[in-house]
Amino acid sequence: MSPPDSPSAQQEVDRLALSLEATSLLKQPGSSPPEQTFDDLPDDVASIIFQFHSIDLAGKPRLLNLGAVCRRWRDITWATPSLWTSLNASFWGYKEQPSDIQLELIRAWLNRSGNLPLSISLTVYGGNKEGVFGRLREMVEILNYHCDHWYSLDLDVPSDLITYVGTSKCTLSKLNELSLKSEGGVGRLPIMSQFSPCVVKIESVQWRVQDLDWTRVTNLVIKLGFIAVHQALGILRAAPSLLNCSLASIGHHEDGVSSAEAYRHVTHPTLRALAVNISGRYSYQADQLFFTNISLPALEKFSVFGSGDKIDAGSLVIFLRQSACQLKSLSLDGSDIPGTGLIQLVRTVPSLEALYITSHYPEYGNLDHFYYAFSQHLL
Amino acid sequence: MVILITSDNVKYVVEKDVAELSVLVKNMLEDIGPSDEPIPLHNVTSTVFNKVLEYCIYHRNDPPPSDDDEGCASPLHKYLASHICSEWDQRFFDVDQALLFDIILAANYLDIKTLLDDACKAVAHLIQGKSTEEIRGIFNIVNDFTPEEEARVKKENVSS
Repeated sequence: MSPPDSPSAQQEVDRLALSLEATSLLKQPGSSPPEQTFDDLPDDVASIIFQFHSIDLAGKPRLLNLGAVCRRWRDITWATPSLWTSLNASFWGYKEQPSDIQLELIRAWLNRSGNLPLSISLTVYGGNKEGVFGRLREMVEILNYHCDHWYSLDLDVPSDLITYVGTSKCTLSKLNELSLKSEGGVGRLPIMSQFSPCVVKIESVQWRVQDLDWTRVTNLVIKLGFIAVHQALGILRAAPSLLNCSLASIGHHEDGVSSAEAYRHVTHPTLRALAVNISGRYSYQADQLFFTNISLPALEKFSVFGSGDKIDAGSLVIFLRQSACQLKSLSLDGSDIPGTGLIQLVRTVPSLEALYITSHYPEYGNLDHFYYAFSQHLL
Repeated sequence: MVILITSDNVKYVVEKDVAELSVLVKNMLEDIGPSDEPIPLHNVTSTVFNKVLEYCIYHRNDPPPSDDDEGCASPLHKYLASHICSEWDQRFFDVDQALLFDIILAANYLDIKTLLDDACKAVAHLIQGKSTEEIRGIFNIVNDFTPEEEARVKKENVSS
């Protein structure tokens, strides 16, 4: 990194430049060499320029533009694998299928990346229409062909298409970031158990714990209408490296899984930040089932979103006591815990530095007791 | 101090830490050991070396460039993206095209990675947001595609 422009640095340049003039034995230059042009740059240097151009954040770099300048530029561009490691594509669902030439371009694009890790982003707008994804499916197959080289995979596609992502042929996963979002209905996570990403974001996609290797996951966001309590606990068991986790929305059916093993207590040693949304429709004591069965000793930041349902303060107190963590930030959004419950809760975590309360239905819980205790420094 | 002689026979007495920003010079100094022998820089003229030296003096205390790219796309991109030139650098590279290419060739020859990267970035900036025709105009590049190749190139670009 360059140092900041400081007067002292500039002064030193000026001083040394003067000193340089004094010490260098200046001679009259001979005949001037010919002026250099881009054509005089070696191919490897031109390749570096193209690489900087390709990641120019201020503009919209178009690699194919570079390849359209002249044969030499085309040869250099085509032969620089790092230029082709990032692919962003978007289509308007069934209205806009990729053309033959687009599929060929995507195939060639990825082939040019050689063995380098790939960052792929694919967005398909529009709803589901069964059977019209022929070419889009072909495109997913092209992506699958390079699955060994996926580094970052970000797919926002219709639910029908998402099931075709991934392949059992992958033997050497480099996947670091996985983001899957299903449009037009809830999709189904394909079996990707050979992939072990660090960052995972799953939205509107049904999943099973065994569908992915969670062992390296440090950052996890799951947004789904219903995450069963036993699934949430299962994730915490399967992802021992988790640091940040957001789960929405956790719920519980009265006729849900009843095996004691599924609700076995989980102690997660590394999780620092947890945000959970307790489903309003399927709460059925989901808060008690979840919070009383986990201990998070490393927890520093904890957020609970209640979706308008009361959250059981007693469960939270049990959770925080058994975690024995040094909690610094507690956010209670729409959880409508009564004032007395809040007092009990805050007294459980003397390490607390920040408390955020949002009450969607103030009539549910009278916070006067809490405010009074707070104003009297009785907490 | 280290004595360097450019291709047009101009002699420079340069502090060792500044001279050693060039991997070429550093290796030569290691090869010859303690000596007052001047080191010839065959491919660099004094005009260009003055600029190179100015850059090296300004950046002499910079931390060494991160070497964590290891061929990975994203880490490489992160490195490239974070490698933003300062205002001083922008002023430094505000020179005519021929001198900019001279600096690049000198940096490449002298093996000064940060200077090479920064200068390449300055060239990349020249083609930012430019069309193919504009790029040809900026660098006086002749379109040597056959009509058939040209047609295919245009088709690719329309489809992308």
